[in-house]
Amino acid sequence: MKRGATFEFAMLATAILFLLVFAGIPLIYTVILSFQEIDPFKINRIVHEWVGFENYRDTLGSAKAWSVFSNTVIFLCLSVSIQFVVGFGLALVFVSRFVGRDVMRGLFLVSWITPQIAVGIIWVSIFSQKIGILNYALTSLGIVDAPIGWLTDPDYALYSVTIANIWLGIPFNMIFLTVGLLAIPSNLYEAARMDGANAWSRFRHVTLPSMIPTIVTVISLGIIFTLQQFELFAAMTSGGPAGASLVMQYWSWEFSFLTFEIGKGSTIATAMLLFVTVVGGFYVYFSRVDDVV
Amino acid sequence: MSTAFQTHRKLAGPILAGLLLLLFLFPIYWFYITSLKGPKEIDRFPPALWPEEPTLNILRVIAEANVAQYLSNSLIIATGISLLTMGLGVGASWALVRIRGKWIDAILITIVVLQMLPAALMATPLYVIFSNLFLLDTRAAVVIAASAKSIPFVIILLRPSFLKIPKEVIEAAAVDGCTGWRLFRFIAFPLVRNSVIIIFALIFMQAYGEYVFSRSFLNSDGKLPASVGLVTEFFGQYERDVTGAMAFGTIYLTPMLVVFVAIQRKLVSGLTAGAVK
Repeated sequence: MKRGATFEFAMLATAILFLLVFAGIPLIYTVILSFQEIDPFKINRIVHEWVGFENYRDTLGSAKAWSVFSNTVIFLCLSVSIQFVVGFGLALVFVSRFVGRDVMRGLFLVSWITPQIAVGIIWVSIFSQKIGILNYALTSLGIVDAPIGWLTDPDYALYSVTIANIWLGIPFNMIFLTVGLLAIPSNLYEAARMDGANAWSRFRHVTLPSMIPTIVTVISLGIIFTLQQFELFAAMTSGGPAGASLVMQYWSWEFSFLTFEIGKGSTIATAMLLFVTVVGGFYVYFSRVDDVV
Repeated sequence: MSTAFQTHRKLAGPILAGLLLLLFLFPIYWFYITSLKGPKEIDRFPPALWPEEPTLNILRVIAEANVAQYLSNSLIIATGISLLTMGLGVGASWALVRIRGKWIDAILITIVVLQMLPAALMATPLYVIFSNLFLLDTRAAVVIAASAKSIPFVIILLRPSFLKIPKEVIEAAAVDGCTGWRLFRFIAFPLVRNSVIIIFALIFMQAYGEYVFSRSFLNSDGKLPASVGLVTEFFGQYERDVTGAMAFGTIYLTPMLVVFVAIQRKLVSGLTAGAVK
């Protein structure tokens, strides 16, 4: 196969070269930039003024860093776990056969193809304190007494963005989990039934173990998509009020593109990229490349 | 009695599923309804579930903003991203099936990790690099950055389809002297064409909503896509025109939703074919 595979090598080399220049090198360059101070008016050079760990002290060493980090973790954990649980519940509904099942299941994907910046704006109007439909529903059902400032109250802002992100994440959880459930051989259930297993122990001893690879895939994808989330923050809170919903990826972007402190933006990006790479490593390790790719 | 119970059971599935779907789709409904509300109605509490003074905000939006410009920029960017991504991604997926070896595994792992890098973080180093290449404020910069992000995704989705081609088919073709480009073009590609079309559609739809790189690299009004225009025109920090944003959004979104509804079943199978065995 080695001989005469010139065409294949050429195809692969082109793509790899492209990815190297526009993904690999930028990745390493972020780390280099994090040790420099970049004058926004003298950006057109590769090496800028070296400042050692100053950017690290100013960002990751600041008082703000801890709250940003914990916001990121809260956002990540709540998003991934709730969208998984809801998605699994929906998958169990959609695994039985009924008229229109495939169409209904497919329509859930609508949140996935809607431009996320538009999704953010839709949720702003739902969450609006004065005129939002959510406050209306909650007050008229008597669940809350006074309208909540979903996006303006520091106690709620992060959770409001989380809710919108869960809405975005439910469909792929549900769809991948349904496909996983459908792939379980039915004779396993029959055998369990013969052994007198009830619904719960069939779920516990047949469904769950067979679903492990799918669950690993879905949760990893959930983590990846959630760490990518940017548009919802941009549209809904801009990280506010007073940093209450600020997460790492938005903080980094804010430094680079709003206050033009590219060195600091790179520092936060470096920390976050390190985190993402570790998560990615776990994902690859636990699911083995052959299963993932 | 038992038949009644069975009918109940038969109906329970679709009814439950339908209700959950309606609840899930509520934000989309709310989006369209809001786009039709009148200027006074929008500030009223309780909010109306149905527009009482239906207003065609779309007309106002078309008069106020250069909708055609924004949409054509979105289409240019989305077309560029999907062509470049597929152009490089399809060939690479095939090559990663044909070529074997330890270093291929390393490439695959790298690709999985590359796919996870958040765009908002990659925007910073790419900004400096594009500035040095004099590519800032060009749609090409957005296309290149977004493609580097989606090529790994294409490889992850498409490689399994190439892997499914039976060895015998490939061997038979090779015996007939069909190798290299011709093997790809006339044997392998036709066999995975459906997956390629679905993945192309998926990449296109995502690219149509591209925001981070456009927001980071572009600043000329004439180059901005609709995703950025939606925010800058109607959803600024100080002044928010909710009905305008929603109306602009319906113009932006509706074509994509129509395509989506038409191909959604294929989309589901294309998405899941490779990822779940």
